[in-house]
Amino acid sequence: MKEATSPPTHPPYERLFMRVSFAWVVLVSTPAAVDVRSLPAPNGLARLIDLTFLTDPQLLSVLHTVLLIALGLYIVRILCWLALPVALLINVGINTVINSQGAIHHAMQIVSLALLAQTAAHFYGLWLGCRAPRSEVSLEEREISWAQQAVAAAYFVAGLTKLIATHGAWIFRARFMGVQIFKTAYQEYYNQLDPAGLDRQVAIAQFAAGHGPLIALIAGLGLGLELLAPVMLLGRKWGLLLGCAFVAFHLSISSVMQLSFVFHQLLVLIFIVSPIYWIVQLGKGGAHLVRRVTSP
Amino acid sequence: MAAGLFHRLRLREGLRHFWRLFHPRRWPALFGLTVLCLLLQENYPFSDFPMYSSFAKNSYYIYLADGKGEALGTNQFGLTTPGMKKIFESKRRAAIRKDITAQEQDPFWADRAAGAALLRYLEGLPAVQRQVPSLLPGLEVRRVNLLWKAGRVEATTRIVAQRP
Repeated sequence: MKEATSPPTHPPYERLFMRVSFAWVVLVSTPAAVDVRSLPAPNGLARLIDLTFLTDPQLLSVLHTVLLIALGLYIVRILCWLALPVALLINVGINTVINSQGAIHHAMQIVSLALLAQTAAHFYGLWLGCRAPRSEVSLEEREISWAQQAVAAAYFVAGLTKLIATHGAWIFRARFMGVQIFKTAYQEYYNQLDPAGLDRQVAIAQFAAGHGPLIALIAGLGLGLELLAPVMLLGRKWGLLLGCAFVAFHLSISSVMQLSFVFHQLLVLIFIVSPIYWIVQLGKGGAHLVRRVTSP
Repeated sequence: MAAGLFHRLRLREGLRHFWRLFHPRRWPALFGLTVLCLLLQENYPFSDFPMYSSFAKNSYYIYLADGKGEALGTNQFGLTTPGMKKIFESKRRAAIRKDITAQEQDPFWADRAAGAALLRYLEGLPAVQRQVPSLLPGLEVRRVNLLWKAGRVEATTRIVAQRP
């Protein structure tokens, strides 16, 4: 059974689009400043190493510059063996500090996972290259494939753990979703005491509380989608179909529960849907059609 | 009969095809990261967090209020309301782990302990120390309990901790 990375499937313009957009996502998901001075509840790497030094504003500023340089090198594919681990360490280190305040955030986790997957893919590719020379393109194709797999894994794990955490009873509990909608509506309100949308959210929450079976059916579709996440890897058409379904799923949840998971959506778009590829294909199809119509 | 049906529906072939499509060697990162997330649980960047999963009949959130009982925006403290609730909950669990007997004798004990610990945490935040006038005098932590009851969500509010 061969690993699903060959033959090369991504044209150069698409690989460039993926590198530039992923580098941007890594940059914006790595805070340049953290407004904390300690790590009261160490998490992840901070359980092994004291990362308090990463709360120093001056050091963070330097690290952000280093991250910018590393991501620049990643985009132009120079010294990737150095750029990828440096970017990974900075991204994971700073986000670990944020996650060590007693509250675990899950918004950026998918970005770090994809970066980890790309770094691992790069070094695995280099190791394979030592045994039998391989092209730079095949190295990058593996990085893309592993990043796609990381995105699929993030969703698949979310689906599996829903079933594990509730002993399979998640669907039956989904009828109480109204309670969560109510909670998130008020949590959003208390962030800035902004009443915009509060009444609408509360009305949706009460509607959901009163229509349990309908809500359970909708939530069941979401769970099914998460468990089907590995199918996104089976080809571009599956990626387009399920990727768009995931984005729609996030947008609908976001409008109801104020939980946008924007980095999840961005990574699905960058690595799974890849809109630039489909735009180019549409353009080519359109040009071909025009040629056929206008030719004598 | 079951074997015949199995054969007729070509289930064996279907399962073989499925196994070939999703063989772990074909998708090493998918399987590797799935296993790591499940084993390492909540250790950044790994997570076994089931997004949108906590669908219980009851839940709660917390918010802050000043000495006059007026609600305060959580962003003023450099936090978000869900983030602050997670900090409160982790302190509440720590308090229960430390002294389960106290919680058994008084069901509000862990809430009070977590509220007091949260107030101490807030005092140390740079965003709070920068605020003039100070947000701290009379600061209250309020807990709103939510309960699904006969197709409606009901809410009740309680003060769990207050600074002098």
